[in-house]
Amino acid sequence: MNILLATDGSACARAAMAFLAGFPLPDDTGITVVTVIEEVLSEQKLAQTSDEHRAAFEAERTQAAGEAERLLADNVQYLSDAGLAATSLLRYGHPAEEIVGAATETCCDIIVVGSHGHGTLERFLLGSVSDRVFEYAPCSVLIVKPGASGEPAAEPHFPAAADGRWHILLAYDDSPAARKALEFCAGLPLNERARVKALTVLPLIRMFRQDVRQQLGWVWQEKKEAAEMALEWLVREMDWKTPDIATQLVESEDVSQAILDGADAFGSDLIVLGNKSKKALQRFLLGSSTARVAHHASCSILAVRETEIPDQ
Amino acid sequence: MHWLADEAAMQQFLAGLPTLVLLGIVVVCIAMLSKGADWMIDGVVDLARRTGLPKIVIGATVISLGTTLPEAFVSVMAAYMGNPGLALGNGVGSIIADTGLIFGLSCVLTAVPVNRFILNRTGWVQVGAATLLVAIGVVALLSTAEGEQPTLQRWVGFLFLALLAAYLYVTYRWARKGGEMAGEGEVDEASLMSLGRSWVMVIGGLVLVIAGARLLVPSASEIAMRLHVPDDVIAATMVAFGTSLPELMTAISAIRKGHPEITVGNIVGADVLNVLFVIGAAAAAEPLAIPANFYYFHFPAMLLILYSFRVFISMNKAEFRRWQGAWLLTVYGVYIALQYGLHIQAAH
Repeated sequence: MNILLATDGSACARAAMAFLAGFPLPDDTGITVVTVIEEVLSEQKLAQTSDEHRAAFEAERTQAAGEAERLLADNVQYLSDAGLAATSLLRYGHPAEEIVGAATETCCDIIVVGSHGHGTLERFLLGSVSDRVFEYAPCSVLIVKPGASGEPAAEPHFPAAADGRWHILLAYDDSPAARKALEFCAGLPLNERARVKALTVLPLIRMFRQDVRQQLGWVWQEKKEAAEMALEWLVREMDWKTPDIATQLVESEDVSQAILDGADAFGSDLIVLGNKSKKALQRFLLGSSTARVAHHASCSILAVRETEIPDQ
Repeated sequence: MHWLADEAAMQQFLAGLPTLVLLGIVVVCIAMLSKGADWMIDGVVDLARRTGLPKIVIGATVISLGTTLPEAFVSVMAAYMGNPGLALGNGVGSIIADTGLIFGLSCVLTAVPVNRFILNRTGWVQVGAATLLVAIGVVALLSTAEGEQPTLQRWVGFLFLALLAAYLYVTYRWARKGGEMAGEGEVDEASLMSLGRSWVMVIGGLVLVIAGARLLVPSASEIAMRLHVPDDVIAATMVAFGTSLPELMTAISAIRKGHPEITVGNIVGADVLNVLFVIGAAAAAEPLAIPANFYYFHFPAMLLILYSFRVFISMNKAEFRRWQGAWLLTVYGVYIALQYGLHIQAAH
């Protein structure tokens, strides 16, 4: 498994690194740590400035590069000490664009970013690198959240559950994207250190109490039976490495909220869910449960993308 | 605020407002109607569940009638206020909007399954009720003396309401036959609202619906006058679209949540109720004079859309096709455009 870990040296990025160091990953996992130096002036604009300004800019750039190299070296060392194979990559440009570009070039399976945990208004005003990476990444994205307090811990600690085990919630709707998420979970070397719960949410339409009619119809009963069978199948047929697998079927008006409530009740460290490839217009008209869960979850999220990166 | 009760004062008040403000009032009234219906249904369903009334009865009666409440209140209000064109236009226009616009749009956006159980039962009632309405209208035309206007008499309204009662009962029986008992279960007390809240929602919703209808009817009439189009044109387009918002919102929600199958039952059921409940109640309140353009425009458009829908049902095995949705949308679009484009004059 190839992982791209994006870092900016912040506490959130350290939390993401700590998450990876403690998470049960396959033995063949390789991690590329990338940091991006944001360019405020393009080469063209730089050429138009005075010699004095150009020299000052170059000096600043050299200093930033030095700090970035030291940051990368620290990260690589940390991960190596945790038994993970790690290399580094320094990029220049717009952070989100460069991260996505690096993901494509390195053919990584997962991009890992820390989340600053900004609220909706802050995200709207300030933007969010993790949001942009989430939206445009060609592969799966793991967003590591700060602790329950909303602030990253000085010494981030995973798993957070009192029993010292990883609590992983798999949101499953039997779609192709969800099956990829299931394959990912089942492929992890979990053993008795982890508990997994597979949660399916059947969406109800509560407006004008259509849910009453919905639940009466034979179509709904068929869908419910199919969902129950799918959950039984995934426990029985997938080659799980942990014996502790539970399932839950919930009917709810708000799918995203039901997933978030399920994660809170389970004490999840990680929510794994499929990320369907939708065009911008579809996302605008139909929304995205995955994006809503990613924004509002208090724990980390792994959105497993449905489409593969083309081979380089 | 005496103009709220006094019709003449209300009209004078509205006549003094700019057209944009009137349009804003119409939008607000439509929102009040929709939200009021939502609250009422929510409250009544909870109260009904408390009494132990089976979900199957609730689904066949309360919810069906509840989503058609906006149309019913507007049409009854319009009939009572002496505006038969608006009353009839709203009912007929709602059928056209439901099947042409909402169902057509649903078919274009997603694969809507053909539910044979509903379409071979309620589907025929849908076509039958609309055909009966037109047939009675034609008989009224033929039996009306020169210079007089054909009218849907009160007895027709009561006939429709009696047929409505029969339809609701038969729907309940069909639902039982179709296996719609599997979803019944013990009432989960925790899922019910408090009794007080239920009543607040029922009463609050009723107030919103009545107030919305009270303001919408004269506002729409005033806009019609300013645009130099007959009341029934405004009713069959703007008002009908607005009062069909519950069906539209439900259809969009159904598509978003991956349950397009409920759209068929909702639209077909709404069409039946628009004839039997909406027009029936309006005619029972006040006899409805039928403007001339209903015979050469609104009725034919309604029948074209409904008969097209019937043909599509017989053509399809599993799902409605996208082109069929496009056809329904096109007919709706042409119907709307022609009404304003031709400035059809009501034969008052």
